Amino acid sequence: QEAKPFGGFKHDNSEPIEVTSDSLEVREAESIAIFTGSVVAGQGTLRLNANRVTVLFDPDSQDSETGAIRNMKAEGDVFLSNGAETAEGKFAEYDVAQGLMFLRGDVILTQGANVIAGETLRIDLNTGVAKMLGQRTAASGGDAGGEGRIRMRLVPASGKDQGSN
Amino acid sequence: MSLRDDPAPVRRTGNAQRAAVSRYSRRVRWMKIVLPVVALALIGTIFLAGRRLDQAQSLLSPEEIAALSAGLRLENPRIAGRTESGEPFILQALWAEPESAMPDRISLERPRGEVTLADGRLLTGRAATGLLERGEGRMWLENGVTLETSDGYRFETERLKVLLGTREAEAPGPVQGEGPRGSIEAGTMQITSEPTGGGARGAARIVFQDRVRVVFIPNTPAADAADAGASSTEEGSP
Repeated sequence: QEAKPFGGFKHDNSEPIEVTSDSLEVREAESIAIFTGSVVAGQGTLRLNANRVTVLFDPDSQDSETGAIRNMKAEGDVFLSNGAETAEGKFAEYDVAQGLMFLRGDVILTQGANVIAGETLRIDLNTGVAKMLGQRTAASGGDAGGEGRIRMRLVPASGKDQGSN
Repeated sequence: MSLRDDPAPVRRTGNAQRAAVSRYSRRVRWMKIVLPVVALALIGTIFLAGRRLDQAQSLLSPEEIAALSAGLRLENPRIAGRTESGEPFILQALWAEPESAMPDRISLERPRGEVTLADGRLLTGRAATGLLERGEGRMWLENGVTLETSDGYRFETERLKVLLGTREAEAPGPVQGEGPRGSIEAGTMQITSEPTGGGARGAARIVFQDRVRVVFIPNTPAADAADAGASSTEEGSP
């Protein structure tokens, strides 16, 4: 049974997205908005920090289900959390329509005492299931190798052992 | 394109204008996504003179210019015309009066502008006071500068500098914008446009700085309704 480390991540991508940063450049011709400088993007309990976030718009917003935003790319000191679990990496890409997020580059996933390192973390925000690809031996607990799915020994945490909180 | 008082047909072939309108209406729909703030790129068209600097004079009719240069106050100056993309606009003020010392600086009381966009939306801009610096081809709008679109977007700042004849504007102080699709706040804002030579002729490029906060509302009944409302008119446009 696949652990659902980000179970609590069951996520509603129609919630408002709030982004704060030092500056923002909007380029109408390319339908993009580039937030730079201590960027914090939040949607529901999901929180993303990065040095730079680029938001791609869908010029014909009527036909895309989540309205205007097609996806978001984050670069530099990317830190993702949903309150309980956190993940860090160099880059992240959030496909808003599909509810899929990829975190890449020296990824470290932390849930309580469980820490898993790997190359790419794929999080399906609809189901809350996360897969670490290219997993390396983790600091505590996680088994190395295998097809990179997350195998964790769930340390008897404070009643959160079903995965989703 | 020189500005004419009567909204005479724009000197363009039908399909060039339609192309501009269709390209234009797609871009305008995009603007909704980033609120009227981007629509502010049109500020150049609301208070626009023609492309070239000397066009600034053509904002006013010869008689009005004569009156102004004689230092007289113009009551209810009103100018109707068409922007480059063929959108009808009206510019008016309660009065316009040259500064006695520097006649090429004209102060405006309650300047107001309206543009009917290609997609049928009405864009209005107004401020308590304005200063037209004809020499520099520049206009300042001050005190309660407000921009609103007919589909529920509103944008406010205290001071706005507009470079006439270009789509360039700058708000040196805090700006706020909100509408069905979300809201934006920032400490300052600069609007420039892509070089006209490039493919994206005249598309807006806007930079916000100093504590930027943006809220996007992906899809809510209100936002969809607003879009539906606007898009029903869009379907009608070419």
